[in-house]
Amino acid sequence: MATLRDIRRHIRAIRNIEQITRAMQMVAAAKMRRAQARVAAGRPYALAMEELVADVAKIGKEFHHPFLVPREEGPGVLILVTSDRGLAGSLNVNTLRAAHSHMLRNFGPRYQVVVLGRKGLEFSRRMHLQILHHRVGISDQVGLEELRPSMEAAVSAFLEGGAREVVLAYPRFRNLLSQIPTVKVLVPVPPRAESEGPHTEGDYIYEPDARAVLERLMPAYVEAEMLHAVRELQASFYSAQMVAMRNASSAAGDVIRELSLTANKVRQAGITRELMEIIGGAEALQAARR
Amino acid sequence: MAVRVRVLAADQPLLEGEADFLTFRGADGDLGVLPQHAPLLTWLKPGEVMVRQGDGERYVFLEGGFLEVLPDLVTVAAERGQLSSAIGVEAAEEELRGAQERASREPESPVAAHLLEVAQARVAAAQLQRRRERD
Repeated sequence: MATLRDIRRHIRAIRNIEQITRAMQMVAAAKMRRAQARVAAGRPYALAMEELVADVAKIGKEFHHPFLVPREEGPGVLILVTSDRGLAGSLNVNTLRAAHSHMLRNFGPRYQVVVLGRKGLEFSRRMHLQILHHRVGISDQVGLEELRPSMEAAVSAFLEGGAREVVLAYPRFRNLLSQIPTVKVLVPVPPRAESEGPHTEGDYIYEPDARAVLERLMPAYVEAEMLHAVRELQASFYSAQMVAMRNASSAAGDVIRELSLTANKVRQAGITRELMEIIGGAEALQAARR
Repeated sequence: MAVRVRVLAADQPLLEGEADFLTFRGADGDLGVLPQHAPLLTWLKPGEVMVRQGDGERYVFLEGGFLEVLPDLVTVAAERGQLSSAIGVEAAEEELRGAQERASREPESPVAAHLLEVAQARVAAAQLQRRRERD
Protein backbone atom coordinates (compact mmCIF):
# COMPACT_ATOMS: atom_id res chain seq x y z
CA MET A 1 0.00 0.00 0.00
CA ALA A 2 1.17 3.50 -0.85
CA THR A 3 2.47 5.55 1.99
CA LEU A 4 0.88 8.82 2.96
CA ARG A 5 3.87 10.71 1.62
CA ASP A 6 3.56 9.05 -1.81
CA ILE A 7 -0.08 9.95 -2.03
CA ARG A 8 0.54 13.55 -1.01
CA ARG A 9 3.25 13.86 -3.64
CA HIS A 10 0.88 12.45 -6.24
CA ILE A 11 -1.79 14.99 -5.28
CA ARG A 12 0.70 17.84 -5.63
CA ALA A 13 1.73 16.63 -9.09
CA ILE A 14 -1.85 16.44 -10.27
CA ARG A 15 -2.63 19.84 -8.82
CA ASN A 16 0.21 21.24 -10.95
CA ILE A 17 -1.19 19.57 -14.04
CA GLU A 18 -4.60 20.97 -13.25
CA GLN A 19 -3.17 24.47 -13.05
CA ILE A 20 -1.62 24.07 -16.48
CA THR A 21 -4.73 22.66 -18.12
CA ARG A 22 -6.83 25.40 -16.54
CA ALA A 23 -4.49 28.07 -17.90
CA MET A 24 -4.56 26.45 -21.36
CA GLN A 25 -8.33 26.39 -21.18
CA MET A 26 -8.45 30.14 -20.51
CA VAL A 27 -6.03 30.91 -23.33
CA ALA A 28 -7.91 28.70 -25.77
CA ALA A 29 -11.20 30.33 -24.76
CA ALA A 30 -9.89 33.81 -25.50
CA LYS A 31 -8.37 32.75 -28.82
CA MET A 32 -11.49 30.85 -29.72
CA ARG A 33 -13.66 33.95 -29.41
CA ARG A 34 -11.41 35.88 -31.76
CA ALA A 35 -11.11 32.99 -34.22
CA GLN A 36 -14.88 32.56 -34.19
CA ALA A 37 -15.40 36.23 -35.03
CA ARG A 38 -12.92 35.94 -37.91
CA VAL A 39 -14.69 32.88 -39.33
CA ALA A 40 -18.05 34.63 -39.22
CA ALA A 41 -16.69 37.82 -40.80
CA GLY A 42 -14.87 35.96 -43.58
CA ARG A 43 -17.59 33.50 -44.49
CA PRO A 44 -19.58 35.83 -46.84
CA TYR A 45 -16.48 36.44 -48.98
CA ALA A 46 -15.70 32.73 -49.34
CA LEU A 47 -19.32 31.95 -50.16
CA ALA A 48 -19.46 34.76 -52.71
CA MET A 49 -16.34 33.49 -54.48
CA GLU A 50 -17.83 30.00 -54.51
CA GLU A 51 -21.07 31.30 -56.00
CA LEU A 52 -19.18 33.39 -58.50
CA VAL A 53 -17.30 30.46 -60.02
CA ALA A 54 -20.44 28.32 -59.87
CA ASP A 55 -22.25 31.05 -61.85
CA VAL A 56 -19.44 31.06 -64.38
CA ALA A 57 -19.63 27.27 -64.62
CA LYS A 58 -23.34 27.60 -65.34
CA ILE A 59 -23.60 30.48 -67.79
CA GLY A 60 -20.05 31.12 -68.99
CA LYS A 61 -19.56 29.67 -72.45
CA GLU A 62 -17.06 31.89 -74.15
CA PHE A 63 -13.93 30.44 -72.59
CA HIS A 64 -13.76 27.05 -70.95
CA HIS A 65 -11.18 27.45 -68.24
CA PRO A 66 -9.58 24.09 -67.29
CA PHE A 67 -11.20 24.41 -63.84
CA LEU A 68 -14.59 24.07 -65.52
CA VAL A 69 -13.86 20.93 -67.51
CA PRO A 70 -14.29 17.52 -65.79
CA ARG A 71 -11.39 15.09 -66.20
CA GLU A 72 -11.43 11.35 -66.54
CA GLU A 73 -7.90 10.58 -65.44
CA GLY A 74 -5.07 11.80 -63.31
CA PRO A 75 -4.08 11.71 -59.65
CA GLY A 76 -6.04 13.31 -56.85
CA VAL A 77 -4.73 16.30 -54.93
CA LEU A 78 -5.78 16.79 -51.34
CA ILE A 79 -5.41 20.13 -49.60
CA LEU A 80 -5.22 19.03 -45.99
CA VAL A 81 -5.92 21.66 -43.36
CA THR A 82 -4.85 20.61 -39.86
CA SER A 83 -3.44 22.22 -36.74
CA ASP A 84 0.21 22.38 -35.73
CA ARG A 85 -0.37 21.36 -32.18
CA GLY A 86 -2.44 18.72 -30.45
CA LEU A 87 -4.24 18.59 -27.10
CA ALA A 88 -7.43 19.21 -28.99
CA GLY A 89 -9.25 15.93 -28.62
CA SER A 90 -10.04 14.05 -31.79
CA LEU A 91 -10.20 17.13 -34.03
CA ASN A 92 -7.32 16.30 -36.38
CA VAL A 93 -7.90 12.56 -36.28
CA ASN A 94 -11.48 13.03 -37.46
CA THR A 95 -10.45 15.30 -40.31
CA LEU A 96 -7.63 13.01 -41.39
CA ARG A 97 -9.85 9.96 -41.28
CA ALA A 98 -12.59 11.57 -43.37
CA ALA A 99 -10.12 12.98 -45.90
CA HIS A 100 -8.09 9.79 -46.18
CA SER A 101 -11.08 7.56 -46.75
CA HIS A 102 -12.45 9.92 -49.40
CA MET A 103 -9.11 9.94 -51.22
CA LEU A 104 -8.66 6.16 -50.92
CA ARG A 105 -12.10 5.58 -52.41
CA ASN A 106 -11.53 7.89 -55.35
CA PHE A 107 -7.83 7.80 -56.05
CA GLY A 108 -6.17 4.89 -54.26
CA PRO A 109 -3.43 5.07 -51.63
CA ARG A 110 -0.84 7.18 -53.47
CA TYR A 111 -2.59 10.50 -53.83
CA GLN A 112 -0.87 13.89 -53.64
CA VAL A 113 -1.16 16.36 -50.79
CA VAL A 114 -0.73 20.04 -50.12
CA VAL A 115 -0.46 20.09 -46.35
CA LEU A 116 -1.16 22.90 -43.94
CA GLY A 117 -0.34 22.15 -40.31
CA ARG A 118 2.11 19.83 -38.58
CA LYS A 119 -0.46 17.16 -37.73
CA GLY A 120 -1.33 16.70 -41.38
CA LEU A 121 2.33 16.66 -42.33
CA GLU A 122 3.12 13.90 -39.83
CA PHE A 123 0.16 11.92 -41.14
CA SER A 124 1.20 12.37 -44.76
CA ARG A 125 4.72 11.17 -44.01
CA ARG A 126 3.45 8.18 -42.09
CA MET A 127 1.18 7.23 -44.99
CA HIS A 128 3.93 7.86 -47.57
CA LEU A 129 1.75 10.27 -49.49
CA GLN A 130 3.27 12.41 -52.20
CA ILE A 131 3.77 15.75 -50.50
CA LEU A 132 3.71 18.55 -53.09
CA HIS A 133 3.99 21.36 -50.59
CA HIS A 134 3.73 21.80 -46.86
CA ARG A 135 3.36 24.70 -44.55
CA VAL A 136 3.45 24.90 -40.76
CA GLY A 137 3.24 27.87 -38.42
CA ILE A 138 0.33 29.69 -40.03
CA SER A 139 -0.51 32.76 -37.98
CA ASP A 140 -3.86 33.37 -36.30
CA GLN A 141 -4.29 36.57 -38.32
CA VAL A 142 -3.80 34.67 -41.57
CA GLY A 143 -4.53 36.53 -44.81
CA LEU A 144 -4.61 35.56 -48.45
CA GLU A 145 -0.95 36.39 -49.13
CA GLU A 146 0.22 34.00 -46.48
CA LEU A 147 -1.49 31.12 -48.24
CA ARG A 148 -0.51 32.09 -51.78
CA PRO A 149 2.40 29.62 -52.18
CA SER A 150 0.22 26.78 -50.91
CA MET A 151 -2.56 27.77 -53.30
CA GLU A 152 -0.11 27.94 -56.19
CA ALA A 153 1.15 24.43 -55.43
CA ALA A 154 -2.40 23.05 -55.55
CA VAL A 155 -3.38 25.00 -58.66
CA SER A 156 -0.29 24.03 -60.62
CA ALA A 157 -0.78 20.36 -59.69
CA PHE A 158 -4.05 20.66 -61.57
CA LEU A 159 -3.04 22.93 -64.44
CA GLU A 160 0.42 21.56 -65.12
CA GLY A 161 0.47 18.30 -63.17
CA GLY A 162 -2.60 16.85 -64.83
CA ALA A 163 -4.46 16.12 -61.60
CA ARG A 164 -8.05 14.95 -61.92
CA GLU A 165 -9.40 16.73 -58.87
CA VAL A 166 -8.39 19.11 -56.12
CA VAL A 167 -10.10 18.28 -52.84
CA LEU A 168 -10.13 20.38 -49.69
CA ALA A 169 -10.41 18.87 -46.18
CA TYR A 170 -10.81 20.77 -42.92
CA PRO A 171 -12.86 20.74 -39.75
CA ARG A 172 -15.84 23.05 -40.08
CA PHE A 173 -16.64 24.98 -36.95
CA ARG A 174 -20.27 24.58 -35.97
CA ASN A 175 -20.18 25.34 -32.28
CA LEU A 176 -18.09 24.80 -29.20
CA LEU A 177 -18.92 21.12 -29.00
CA SER A 178 -19.23 20.26 -32.64
CA GLN A 179 -16.64 20.51 -35.39
CA ILE A 180 -17.59 18.73 -38.55
CA PRO A 181 -14.95 17.06 -40.74
CA THR A 182 -15.55 18.51 -44.18
CA VAL A 183 -14.26 17.16 -47.48
CA LYS A 184 -15.20 18.97 -50.64
CA VAL A 185 -14.15 19.07 -54.27
CA LEU A 186 -12.80 22.48 -55.28
CA VAL A 187 -11.64 21.76 -58.81
CA PRO A 188 -13.18 21.06 -61.27
CA VAL A 189 -15.79 23.49 -60.04
CA PRO A 190 -18.79 21.39 -58.97
CA PRO A 191 -21.84 22.07 -61.17
CA ARG A 192 -24.82 23.83 -59.63
CA ALA A 193 -28.35 22.54 -59.56
CA GLU A 194 -30.42 23.85 -62.46
CA SER A 195 -32.69 25.76 -60.09
CA GLU A 196 -29.81 27.64 -58.45
CA GLY A 197 -27.71 30.50 -59.68
CA PRO A 198 -28.48 33.07 -62.34
CA HIS A 199 -31.43 32.56 -64.65
CA THR A 200 -30.27 34.55 -67.59
CA GLU A 201 -29.98 34.01 -71.26
CA GLY A 202 -26.55 34.27 -72.72
CA ASP A 203 -23.05 34.70 -71.45
CA TYR A 204 -21.37 37.42 -69.44
CA ILE A 205 -19.82 40.49 -70.90
CA TYR A 206 -16.19 40.03 -69.85
CA GLU A 207 -13.72 42.80 -69.24
CA PRO A 208 -11.04 42.79 -70.46
CA ASP A 209 -11.87 39.35 -71.96
CA ALA A 210 -13.13 35.96 -70.81
CA ARG A 211 -9.79 34.23 -70.68
CA ALA A 212 -8.00 36.98 -68.77
CA VAL A 213 -10.74 37.37 -66.17
CA LEU A 214 -11.12 33.64 -65.55
CA GLU A 215 -7.39 33.07 -65.32
CA ARG A 216 -7.36 35.53 -62.46
CA LEU A 217 -10.62 34.51 -60.89
CA MET A 218 -10.02 30.77 -60.61
CA PRO A 219 -6.86 30.87 -58.47
CA ALA A 220 -8.46 33.59 -56.34
CA TYR A 221 -11.38 31.24 -55.76
CA VAL A 222 -9.10 28.42 -54.56
CA GLU A 223 -7.26 30.89 -52.36
CA ALA A 224 -10.51 32.17 -50.84
CA GLU A 225 -11.62 28.63 -50.06
CA MET A 226 -8.27 27.80 -48.47
CA LEU A 227 -8.30 30.92 -46.35
CA HIS A 228 -11.76 30.14 -45.16
CA ALA A 229 -10.79 26.53 -44.38
CA VAL A 230 -7.86 27.73 -42.28
CA ARG A 231 -10.11 30.09 -40.36
CA GLU A 232 -12.61 27.30 -39.78
CA LEU A 233 -9.76 25.14 -38.55
CA GLN A 234 -8.56 27.78 -36.14
CA ALA A 235 -11.99 28.31 -34.61
CA SER A 236 -12.45 24.54 -34.43
CA PHE A 237 -9.02 23.99 -32.94
CA TYR A 238 -9.39 26.46 -30.11
CA SER A 239 -12.88 25.20 -29.33
CA ALA A 240 -11.74 21.59 -29.27
CA GLN A 241 -8.71 22.51 -27.21
CA MET A 242 -10.79 24.46 -24.75
CA VAL A 243 -13.17 21.56 -24.28
CA ALA A 244 -10.32 19.06 -24.01
CA MET A 245 -8.60 21.19 -21.39
CA ARG A 246 -11.82 21.69 -19.48
CA ASN A 247 -12.28 17.92 -19.40
CA ALA A 248 -8.69 17.47 -18.30
CA SER A 249 -9.10 20.03 -15.50
CA SER A 250 -12.24 18.40 -14.23
CA ALA A 251 -10.67 14.94 -14.46
CA ALA A 252 -7.73 16.25 -12.45
CA GLY A 253 -10.18 17.56 -9.86
CA ASP A 254 -11.80 14.12 -9.63
CA VAL A 255 -8.46 12.39 -9.19
CA ILE A 256 -7.43 14.87 -6.50
CA ARG A 257 -10.68 14.25 -4.61
CA GLU A 258 -10.19 10.50 -4.73
CA LEU A 259 -6.58 10.69 -3.72
CA SER A 260 -7.41 13.01 -0.83
CA LEU A 261 -9.94 10.47 0.35
CA THR A 262 -7.36 7.70 0.20
CA ALA A 263 -4.82 9.92 1.91
CA ASN A 264 -7.26 10.60 4.75
CA LYS A 265 -8.03 6.93 5.09
CA VAL A 266 -4.37 6.07 5.22
CA ARG A 267 -3.74 8.82 7.76
CA GLN A 268 -6.73 7.64 9.82
CA ALA A 269 -5.54 4.05 9.61
CA GLY A 270 -2.11 5.18 10.81
CA ILE A 271 -3.58 7.03 13.78
CA THR A 272 -5.79 4.10 14.68
CA ARG A 273 -2.85 1.75 14.49
CA GLU A 274 -0.74 3.96 16.70
CA LEU A 275 -3.55 4.23 19.25
CA MET A 276 -3.94 0.49 19.29
CA GLU A 277 -0.23 0.14 19.85
CA ILE A 278 -0.26 2.64 22.72
CA ILE A 279 -3.26 1.02 24.33
CA GLY A 280 -1.76 -2.38 23.78
CA GLY A 281 1.49 -1.23 25.32
CA ALA A 282 -0.25 0.39 28.29
CA GLU A 283 -2.28 -2.75 28.95
CA ALA A 284 0.81 -4.89 28.76
CA LEU A 285 2.50 -2.63 31.32
CA GLN A 286 -0.49 -2.80 33.64
CA ALA A 287 -0.64 -6.55 33.33
CA ALA A 288 3.04 -6.81 34.12
CA ARG A 289 2.64 -4.59 37.21
CA ARG A 290 -0.19 -6.81 38.51
CA MET B 1 -36.48 49.19 -59.49
CA ALA B 2 -33.33 48.41 -57.59
CA VAL B 3 -30.57 45.86 -57.65
CA ARG B 4 -29.20 44.06 -54.62
CA VAL B 5 -25.54 44.85 -53.97
CA ARG B 6 -23.01 43.19 -51.70
CA VAL B 7 -19.44 44.32 -51.29
CA LEU B 8 -17.28 41.80 -49.45
CA ALA B 9 -13.66 41.90 -48.37
CA ALA B 10 -11.84 38.72 -47.36
CA ASP B 11 -11.93 39.61 -43.68
CA GLN B 12 -15.32 41.32 -43.43
CA PRO B 13 -18.43 42.34 -45.37
CA LEU B 14 -18.21 46.04 -46.21
CA LEU B 15 -21.60 46.94 -47.60
CA GLU B 16 -24.88 45.24 -48.30
CA GLY B 17 -28.09 46.74 -49.59
CA GLU B 18 -30.07 47.95 -52.57
CA ALA B 19 -28.89 50.30 -55.26
CA ASP B 20 -30.45 52.32 -58.06
CA PHE B 21 -27.08 52.86 -59.67
CA LEU B 22 -23.46 52.02 -59.05
CA THR B 23 -20.09 52.80 -60.53
CA PHE B 24 -16.70 51.12 -60.30
CA ARG B 25 -13.30 50.91 -61.92
CA GLY B 26 -13.42 47.88 -64.21
CA ALA B 27 -10.51 46.31 -66.06
CA ASP B 28 -11.23 48.39 -69.18
CA GLY B 29 -12.22 51.62 -67.45
CA ASP B 30 -14.93 53.14 -65.33
CA LEU B 31 -18.35 51.58 -65.61
CA GLY B 32 -21.83 52.38 -64.36
CA VAL B 33 -24.52 49.79 -63.82
CA LEU B 34 -28.30 50.16 -63.52
CA PRO B 35 -30.69 47.45 -62.35
CA GLN B 36 -31.46 44.76 -64.94
CA HIS B 37 -28.04 45.16 -66.52
CA ALA B 38 -26.82 42.27 -68.65
CA PRO B 39 -24.49 39.80 -66.90
CA LEU B 40 -20.97 41.18 -66.65
CA LEU B 41 -17.77 39.89 -65.10
CA THR B 42 -14.62 41.92 -64.62
CA TRP B 43 -11.75 42.42 -62.26
CA LEU B 44 -11.43 45.74 -60.51
CA LYS B 45 -8.64 48.22 -60.50
CA PRO B 46 -7.78 49.73 -57.13
CA GLY B 47 -10.34 52.46 -56.50
CA GLU B 48 -13.78 53.28 -55.30
CA VAL B 49 -17.09 51.59 -55.82
CA MET B 50 -19.99 54.04 -55.54
CA VAL B 51 -23.41 52.73 -54.57
CA ARG B 52 -26.34 55.13 -54.98
CA GLN B 53 -29.69 54.52 -53.41
CA GLY B 54 -32.28 57.28 -53.51
CA ASP B 55 -30.41 60.46 -52.58
CA GLY B 56 -27.68 58.66 -50.67
CA GLU B 57 -24.32 57.64 -52.07
CA ARG B 58 -21.94 55.30 -50.32
CA TYR B 59 -18.33 54.80 -51.26
CA VAL B 60 -16.11 51.79 -50.68
CA PHE B 61 -12.42 51.72 -51.48
CA LEU B 62 -11.14 48.37 -52.80
CA GLU B 63 -7.58 47.31 -53.57
CA GLY B 64 -8.71 45.18 -56.47
CA GLY B 65 -11.02 42.18 -56.63
CA PHE B 66 -13.80 40.93 -58.85
CA LEU B 67 -17.22 42.21 -59.76
CA GLU B 68 -20.11 40.23 -61.12
CA VAL B 69 -23.27 41.86 -62.42
CA LEU B 70 -26.45 39.82 -62.71
CA PRO B 71 -29.82 41.41 -63.47
CA ASP B 72 -30.89 41.37 -59.81
CA LEU B 73 -27.61 41.07 -57.92
CA VAL B 74 -24.19 42.71 -58.01
CA THR B 75 -21.42 40.92 -56.13
CA VAL B 76 -18.12 42.62 -55.40
CA ALA B 77 -15.44 40.44 -53.79
CA ALA B 78 -12.07 41.92 -52.94
CA GLU B 79 -9.07 40.78 -50.98
CA ARG B 80 -8.92 44.04 -49.06
CA GLY B 81 -10.99 47.15 -48.81
CA GLN B 82 -12.53 49.69 -46.48
CA LEU B 83 -15.28 52.27 -46.46
CA SER B 84 -13.92 55.45 -48.00
CA SER B 85 -15.00 57.32 -44.88
CA ALA B 86 -12.65 55.10 -42.86
CA ILE B 87 -9.51 56.02 -44.81
CA GLY B 88 -7.11 58.14 -42.80
CA VAL B 89 -5.60 60.76 -45.09
CA GLU B 90 -2.28 60.89 -43.23
CA ALA B 91 -1.94 57.10 -43.14
CA ALA B 92 -2.75 56.91 -46.85
CA GLU B 93 -0.14 59.56 -47.68
CA GLU B 94 2.40 57.77 -45.51
CA GLU B 95 1.64 54.55 -47.39
CA LEU B 96 2.09 56.36 -50.69
CA ARG B 97 5.53 57.69 -49.70
CA GLY B 98 6.59 54.17 -48.71
CA ALA B 99 5.26 52.74 -51.97
CA GLN B 100 7.02 55.42 -54.03
CA GLU B 101 10.33 54.67 -52.31
CA ARG B 102 9.95 50.98 -52.89
CA ALA B 103 8.95 51.46 -56.52
CA SER B 104 12.05 53.58 -57.16
CA ARG B 105 14.23 51.00 -55.40
CA GLU B 106 12.72 48.10 -57.33
CA PRO B 107 11.64 49.53 -60.68
CA GLU B 108 11.17 46.05 -62.18
CA SER B 109 9.05 44.57 -59.41
CA PRO B 110 5.38 44.02 -60.29
CA VAL B 111 4.58 43.86 -56.56
CA ALA B 112 6.07 47.31 -55.98
CA ALA B 113 4.18 48.66 -58.98
CA HIS B 114 0.93 47.22 -57.67
CA LEU B 115 1.47 48.63 -54.18
CA LEU B 116 2.16 52.01 -55.70
CA GLU B 117 -1.03 51.87 -57.74
CA VAL B 118 -3.04 50.91 -54.65
CA ALA B 119 -1.48 53.67 -52.58
CA GLN B 120 -2.13 56.30 -55.25
CA ALA B 121 -5.73 55.18 -55.57
CA ARG B 122 -6.19 55.26 -51.81
CA VAL B 123 -4.85 58.80 -51.51
CA ALA B 124 -7.10 59.88 -54.39
CA ALA B 125 -10.09 58.26 -52.68
CA ALA B 126 -9.21 59.92 -49.37
CA GLN B 127 -9.03 63.34 -51.04
CA LEU B 128 -12.33 62.80 -52.84
CA GLN B 129 -13.91 61.71 -49.59
CA ARG B 130 -12.65 64.84 -47.85
CA ARG B 131 -14.13 66.99 -50.57
CA ARG B 132 -17.45 65.15 -50.35
CA GLU B 133 -17.54 65.67 -46.62
CA ARG B 134 -16.96 69.39 -47.06
CA ASP B 135 -19.81 69.82 -49.56
